Amino acid sequence: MSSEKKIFFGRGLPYVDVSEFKGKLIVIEGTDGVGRTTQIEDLKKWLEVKGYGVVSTGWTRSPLMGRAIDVAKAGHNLNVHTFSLLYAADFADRLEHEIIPALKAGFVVLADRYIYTAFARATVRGAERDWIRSTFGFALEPDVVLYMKVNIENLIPRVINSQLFQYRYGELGSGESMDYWEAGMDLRLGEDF
Amino acid sequence: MAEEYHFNVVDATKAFSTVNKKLKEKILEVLEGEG
Repeated sequence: MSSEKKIFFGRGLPYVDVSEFKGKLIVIEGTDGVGRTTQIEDLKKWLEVKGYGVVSTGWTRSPLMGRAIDVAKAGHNLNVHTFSLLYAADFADRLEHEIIPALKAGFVVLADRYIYTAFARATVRGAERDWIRSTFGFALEPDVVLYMKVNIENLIPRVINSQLFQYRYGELGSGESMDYWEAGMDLRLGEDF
Repeated sequence: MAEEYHFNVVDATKAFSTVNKKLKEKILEVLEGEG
């Protein structure tokens, strides 16, 4: 594995010596339904067969904050700043307890979404660009960002046919809808609001 | 600034294998320092 010195996105974490990091941080970004998680599962197996130690980490999956974020999102009363700060707390927990230890140990870290998701979601909701970038200034710069793109005509059927959608509408029939926040319903952009 | 690459997921039936191959190529470049 080649070694290039890691750097922080902003002010960083003063107690962390990035010169110790031997691993690589690979970020996969892209909208819901584009296939990020499926790709990461396959890439993890493929890299392990090639002899790499691999750790995968996903947005809002920290043990500390994952549940709290689900509860907060269910309330539909977050604003852009509280939303972003919850994301930042989740990311900080995963950075400190998953990403940094793995990089120190020489693992490849596959990140399913990264700080760019927070930037996009906050900016489209009116947050100041400098504020959101400063909030995530403790993040490490990835070695590479792989962005999966899909046009709207292909994306809609993929989301509609997703397992989550089938689960919510096909089996439960509970009247639940797509994720309120990830679908951007809080932005009130539809004609029926 | 991290390097950034975009991959188009055009056809849902062919997307996985096509994108998967391209992702693997780019990841190998990063891991082996060929990029």
